[in-house]
Amino acid sequence: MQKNAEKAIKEILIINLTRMGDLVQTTPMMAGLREKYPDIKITLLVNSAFTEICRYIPFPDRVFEMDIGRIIKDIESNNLVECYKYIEEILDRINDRVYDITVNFTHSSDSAVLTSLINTREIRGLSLSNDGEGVVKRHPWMRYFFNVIPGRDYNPFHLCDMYALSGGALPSKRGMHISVPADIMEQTEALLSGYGIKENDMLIGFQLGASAEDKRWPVEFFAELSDRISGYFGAKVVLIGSGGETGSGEEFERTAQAKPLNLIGKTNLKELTALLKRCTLLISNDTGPLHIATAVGTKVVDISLASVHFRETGPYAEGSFAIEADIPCSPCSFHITCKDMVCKRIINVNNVFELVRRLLTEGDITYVEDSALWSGLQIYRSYFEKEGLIEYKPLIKRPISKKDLFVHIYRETWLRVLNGEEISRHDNIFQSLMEKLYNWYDIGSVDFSVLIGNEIDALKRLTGLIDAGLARLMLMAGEAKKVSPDITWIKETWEDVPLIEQEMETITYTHPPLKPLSYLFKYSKEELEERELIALSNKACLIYKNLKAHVSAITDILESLRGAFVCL
Amino acid sequence: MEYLKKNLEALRKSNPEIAELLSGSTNENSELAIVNSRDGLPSLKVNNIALHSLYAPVKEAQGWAEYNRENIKKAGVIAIFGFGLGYHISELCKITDKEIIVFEPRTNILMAALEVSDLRDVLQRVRIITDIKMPETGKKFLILEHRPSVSLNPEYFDEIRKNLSALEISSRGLRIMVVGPIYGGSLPVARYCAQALRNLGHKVDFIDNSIYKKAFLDIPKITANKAHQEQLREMFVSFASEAMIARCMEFKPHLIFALAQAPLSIASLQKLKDNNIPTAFWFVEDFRFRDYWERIAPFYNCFFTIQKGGFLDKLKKQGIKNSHYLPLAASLDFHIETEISAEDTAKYGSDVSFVGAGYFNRREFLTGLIDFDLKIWGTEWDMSSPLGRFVQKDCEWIETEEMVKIFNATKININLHSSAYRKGVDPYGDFVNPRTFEIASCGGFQLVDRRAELPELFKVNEEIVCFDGIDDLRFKVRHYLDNPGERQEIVQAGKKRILKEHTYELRMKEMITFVLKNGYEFPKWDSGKNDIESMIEGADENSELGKYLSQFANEASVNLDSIVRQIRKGEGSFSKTEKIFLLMDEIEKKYAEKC
Repeated sequence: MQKNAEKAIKEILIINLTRMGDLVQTTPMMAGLREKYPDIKITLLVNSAFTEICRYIPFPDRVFEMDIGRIIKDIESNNLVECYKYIEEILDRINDRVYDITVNFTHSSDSAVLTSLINTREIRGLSLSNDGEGVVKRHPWMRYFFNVIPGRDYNPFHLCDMYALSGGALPSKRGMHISVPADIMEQTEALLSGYGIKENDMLIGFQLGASAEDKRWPVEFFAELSDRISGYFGAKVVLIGSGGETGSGEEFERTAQAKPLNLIGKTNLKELTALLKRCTLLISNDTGPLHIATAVGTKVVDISLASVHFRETGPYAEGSFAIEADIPCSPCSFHITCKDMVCKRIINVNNVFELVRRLLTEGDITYVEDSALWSGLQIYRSYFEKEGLIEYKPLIKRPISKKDLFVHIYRETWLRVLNGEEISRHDNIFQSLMEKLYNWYDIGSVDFSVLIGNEIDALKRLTGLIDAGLARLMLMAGEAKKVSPDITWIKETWEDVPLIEQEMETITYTHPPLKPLSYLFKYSKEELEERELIALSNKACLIYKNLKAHVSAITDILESLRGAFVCL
Repeated sequence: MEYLKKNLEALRKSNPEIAELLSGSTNENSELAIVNSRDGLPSLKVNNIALHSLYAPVKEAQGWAEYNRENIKKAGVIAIFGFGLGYHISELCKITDKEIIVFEPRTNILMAALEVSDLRDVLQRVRIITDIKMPETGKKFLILEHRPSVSLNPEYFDEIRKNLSALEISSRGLRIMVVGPIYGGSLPVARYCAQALRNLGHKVDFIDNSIYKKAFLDIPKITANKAHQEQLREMFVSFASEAMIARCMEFKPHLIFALAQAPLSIASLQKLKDNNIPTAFWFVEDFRFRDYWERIAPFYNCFFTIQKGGFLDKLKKQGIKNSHYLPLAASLDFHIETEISAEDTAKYGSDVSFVGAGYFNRREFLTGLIDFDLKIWGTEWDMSSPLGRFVQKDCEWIETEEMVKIFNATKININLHSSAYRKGVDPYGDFVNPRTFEIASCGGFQLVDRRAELPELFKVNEEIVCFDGIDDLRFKVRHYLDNPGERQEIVQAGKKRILKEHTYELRMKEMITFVLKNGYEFPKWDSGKNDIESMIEGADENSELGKYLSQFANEASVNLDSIVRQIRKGEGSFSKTEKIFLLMDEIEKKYAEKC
């Protein structure tokens, strides 16, 4: 494997047409780029509905906004020429230079078309392929982000880290980056004082909303939690949120005994940011304010429900907490509607209050004794690992599941595979893994031969198939290099390859922890755009070799694990 | 006469119907006068008005063609108003190879033209229309007027102008919301209309209110109090109306087309009216029996009826301007001839059958047929009556698919229009029910009670057979059971007529044309701008966008859909312009719902 060639990047365009939280989560990437390339010019293209937050993101040199509402209105009125001119005008302004890299973080076909219209030397993320039929992701981390995340059970990476890694630079200053103007803090204190909140009062923020109903912890739970926190600590609870969430605030006020400070819909983004900074703790569903709070250094308790997965979008800061149901269906798959939300029953007021109580009392929590109170859920504490990536430590020590084991293994292997690093020696990986297993899990009761025996067998069969496929591809590559290659022979040799690949897929699909390998392999091949036979076969060989190295590393790790724990 | 013969031969090849029309006519009309122009060529005067120059008609025609040369470039199809002696058409043919359609209502003028000069080249080249039927084309029309001809027939050409405009608009493919009833006979009609509109290329959102049927019909089970029942029904209608409004906001229709019994409250209709959302209503029932039309008609932009019978006069008296007779029809998607298996023949077949609800007049009348091999299908029959044993499927509702099998498997289908108050055949019955068209379309043989408005839809005794009372019916049942060949001939003729004139596609086309011709204004969410010329002008014709759009110059309409369709047809890499349109399309697909 070759490490990606490092070139000085002077101009970068980041396209992010999604929501506020996603924008905030691109800040580590921007910080990393600015640090690595101090002279870099960062241009940002965002949906105009979320432009305001860009004022508080310190890195972009230029921000362009696209008014999607206006475009829709024009199309509906058949004002196509005006609409076209509007888009063309934005493109002309953006394309006043050639970008070294354009990164598209938006997971949609409209953004793919948009990206293909940019003057750029390199594209990372979705774009139109040459024939306009498909989409390509190009950069390995982008390929991972778009293709492996949807089969998310084994994903160990946070969105921020994937973004930063796709930009090729993790910042040394960790976390998300939002700047709060100094004067606003004073204004906020004055505002709070107007509501009777003193400077020394403990202020706990509650964010009741979320982008979808299933991601919202019930308002009556929040209300009861508020009463208990107020009663126990004498803390003041402040409700934050956008104007669209006023209904939840009213419901909260009807239910809670202790009257909260309801500022839902009453703050602009600047005030909200300052308010969050003032809070001792924010208790929140998965929302934009959660990310803003972590960016301004406020601790967060993230209630991770439904399709929300703390590993992907949880608090990206040292010492925050996520609480998630530890049940087989959690997190929900994307695009399903759960009709029986067990996770909302498991994460209840009692266990959230206990977490908050300990946190506010002790300042931090690094271990939680298992008890009936925590039945069916797990609490995670966030911290940055030495590579600079966020990690979530489970606080309740329990036997490791196969799923968790593979999450940890993949965290080590993907990092190397996708960064183009050598993974044939796995000593470091193994050591790091063992530390986590010993410190975080009760491994004494786990029979590793049973836990991973099937996967080891499957990986060996997979290796045999990869070898068979690779052998054929290498023969084809050799033939292709000849002055007059025998095309008929190449075609005949190729005929076996799809069957081999089908068998490989069968193995991975019948052993779910191995599926991510299959996803990336499959989508890497879909990006084979070379028209020359030599280039095509060489690239195909490389994809096979990468897969082989990855499979081989995982096999070694699993065998070492089995050996290590048999010895115990 | 030499010219006439040759011209008619040419005309027979290109315009056979016109040739036939002219062959049977004589030109002894005193209003026409052929006169020699000064340069020796024939000219024509009609009621002393010269249709061509009396000095140099060819030169005049050349000037006319030259004057229109630039405009022709942008045309998809050229519509010439007036044939005259054909000089102007002949000259126009020399400068363009575009499709030309000539509208000329006066056959005597056509005859005169064919008699006085050799027009074979022109006749082979152009299409001639003498009535108000519109040609099938998706292209943009350029109307070129032969002024003297237009001044002779201003009303005809005004009508054609409106028709062409309507044709252009409808050829874009409109978004039409079809609102059906909760239950009843107009429910399948609503479905047929929706399908026909789709077949015509329109986007259709069918509001299927039948999903509320059970709840609606269960209202009497909630309370026996009639006043309270009525209150609940009104609330139900309000709910369905509001649901329609909600759907309307998302679908953004160009037209809301509601069928009889559609549960739309006056308040919702007022709301649509206040927001200038075009609406049309098809009252597919007897205006004498159901009088709610009086309340609702004023709220619709256009109101369609299935009966003339004084109904249109009544509507006019009420101040309803845009009412129009639109008889029912058959759906070629549903009402089809089908092979019947032996099993189905046993199940659905009989010598005589009747499909329909047990209305008052039918209950009494059909007892007169119980000595035949009779099957009765449908709801609301008195099972304790003599007819009870002939009623199939426990008096259940018969779905269209099953009905089609019955029509196909039965030797003689009885079609008796319903009446809630007259016995047997209604002597005053006028409109024609859907069953008439459906049986004919399925290739079934039917005997139908005589209706005043039937003869203009079918030739009686050739395409359909009527009965006047039970004796007449019994006689005819026996006769046609004994003469399957006669049945078959009538069936075939009836089917032919259906295909030609009585499909829902044709009705929907007529409906839309009427709507568009009668004060139609685009709703606020669609300005209706489709003028490609102004689009090109707005883009600057020399710009990349302008040049790109110029490929659509001959199209009747251009919208994002049509542009994207064109882009997708192409090969190779996309240009910047194409990508921007693709981007717009993707944005629309993704965000339209959310915004």
